[in-house]
Amino acid sequence: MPFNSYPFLFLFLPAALLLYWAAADELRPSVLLVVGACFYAFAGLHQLALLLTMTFVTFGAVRLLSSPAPSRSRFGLAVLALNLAVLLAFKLAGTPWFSAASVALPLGLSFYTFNLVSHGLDVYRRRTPAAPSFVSLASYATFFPTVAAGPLLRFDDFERQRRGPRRFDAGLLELGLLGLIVGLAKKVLVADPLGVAVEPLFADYERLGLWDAWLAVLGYAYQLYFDFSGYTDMATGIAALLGFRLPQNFNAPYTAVHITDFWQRWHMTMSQWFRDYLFLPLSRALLRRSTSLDRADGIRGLCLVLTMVAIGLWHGTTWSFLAWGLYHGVLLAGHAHLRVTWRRPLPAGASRAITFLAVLAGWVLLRSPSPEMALRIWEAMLGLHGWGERALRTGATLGLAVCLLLVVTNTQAESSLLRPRRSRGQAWSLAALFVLSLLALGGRSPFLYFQF
Amino acid sequence: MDPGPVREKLRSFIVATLVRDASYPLRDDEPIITSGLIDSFALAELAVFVEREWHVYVPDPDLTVERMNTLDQIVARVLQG
Repeated sequence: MPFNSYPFLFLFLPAALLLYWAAADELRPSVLLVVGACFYAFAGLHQLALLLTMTFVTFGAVRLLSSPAPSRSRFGLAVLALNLAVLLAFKLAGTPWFSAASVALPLGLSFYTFNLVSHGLDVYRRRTPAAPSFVSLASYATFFPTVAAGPLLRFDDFERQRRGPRRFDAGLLELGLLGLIVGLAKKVLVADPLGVAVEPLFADYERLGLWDAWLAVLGYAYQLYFDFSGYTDMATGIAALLGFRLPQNFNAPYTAVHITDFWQRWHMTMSQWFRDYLFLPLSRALLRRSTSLDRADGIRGLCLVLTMVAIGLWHGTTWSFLAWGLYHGVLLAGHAHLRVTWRRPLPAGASRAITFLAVLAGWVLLRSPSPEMALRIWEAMLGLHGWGERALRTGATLGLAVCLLLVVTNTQAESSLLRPRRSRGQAWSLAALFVLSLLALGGRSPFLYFQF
Repeated sequence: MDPGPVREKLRSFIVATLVRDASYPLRDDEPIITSGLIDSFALAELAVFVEREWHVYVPDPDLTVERMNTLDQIVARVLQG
C-alpha cells in the first residue's frame, strides 16, 4: 500500500495511529507488529511470509551470535548470511541471465535485509545486545514507515525509542503532519510531473539533441531527488506520528562540493551502512595484511571501488547499476587521491558545478538500460547530435526551469526553518499544499526506490 | 602506558601520515574527522597503527566519529587497552 494513495492516507494511517496510541504501553510492540504486518500484507501474503521467515532466521542467528562460544558464533554468522543469500537470489532472478526464473522483487527486500543483517553484525561485534524477543525484532523488521524503502534504521536505535516514554502530544502531530504533507507534495507535485515530462525524451533517446538531453538528465536528477526525499519525508512524518525519530537521509546532495561530500549527503543511511559494515572492515583487513602503511592509498582506492560496486549491485544486478557503482567508485578513489596530492582547492562554486556535472553523468548510467543508450545521451549532452528542440516545444522546459529554481534541498538549516510553527500562516499553507497534492493523486505513480 | 609518549606518537602519526603535513599544529581537542582533516578510511589506518604500535585492538564499533574525533579521545581509547 503506497503512502501516496487515498486508502493509506485516509483509512490505514488513521486506523493504525488510533490502535497504536489507544493500546496500553505493554501492548504497543504487538500492535506495532500487527499494524506493520497488515501494511506489508498488501504487497502479498507470500511476501509477508518471506519477511517474517527472514526475521525468524535472524532471531535464531542473533541468539547464536551472542554466545561466547566461537563455534556457535560462527554458525550464527552462517545463519545470518542466509538473509543475504535470499537477497542475492531475488536480485539475480531479475537479470537477463536468469530470465526463465524471473520473479518480482519483494517490496523493500533490500532495505529490511540490511536492517536484519546490521542487527546480527552488531550483536556479533558486541555493539548491542540481541533482540530480547521475536516480537521486538519483528516489530522492527515490519516497521511500516520504513519497511518499503528505508531510511535504514539500527535495531538499538529503534528499540531505545520503542522502550522510551510514549505520549502523544501536539509537537509530534505537528512534526508528523509537516513531514507527511511536504513529502507528499514533493512526490506528486514535483517528482511525478517531472517524470511525465522526461519519460518521452528517454523513450526516444536516439533523437535527443543538446537541449533535449540536458533537460532529460536534469529532469531525471530532480525527479529522483524529489521522489526519494519526498518518500523519506513522508516516512519521517509517519514515524513521528508514532513517536519515533528517523535518521536524516538527505542533506542538500546537489550542493556537494566534491564527490565524497555528495555521498555524505545522498541516501546517508545507506552510505553509513556500507561504510560501517563493508568499507571500514575491508580496509582494516587489507591494511593489516599489508606490510607497510605506505600502500594505504592503493588499498583505499580498491576498497572505495569495491564498496561502490557493492552499492550499485545492492540497487540491482543489471549492467546499469554495476556501471553506476563502478563509475562512482572510480570518482571517489580519484578524489581521495587528489585530496592528498593536490592541495589547492577550487573555488566553492566551481567545485559544486563540477561535482553536480559528475553526478548528472552518473545518473545517465543509472537511467540507461544499455551502454549504447548511455553513450548516445552523453554524446547528445556534448552537442554531438545537434541542438534538439523537441523539449522546448513540449513545454517541459518551463516545468524543469521552475523546478530548478526551487531551493528545496533538505539541509539541516532548512529543516530547522521548516520546523512546525504554531502560526495560522503555516497551517493554511500546509492545508493548501495537502489539498493540491490530494487533487494530483489521481495519476499516482510508485516511488522509484520501491523497485530496490 | 605513559600517556605522554602515546599522545606524541599518535600526534606525529596523524599529522605526518594521515594529514600528510608534518608541520600541522594539531591541538589535543581539535576535531579531526568532522572538520574534514581526515576521512573514515584514516580511522582504519589509525586502528592498524595502534594495533602494531601498542598491541591494542580497537573494535570496529569503536571506530566512529563520536568516539575518535579528537586526539584526546584517541589517546583515551588506546590507554583503555
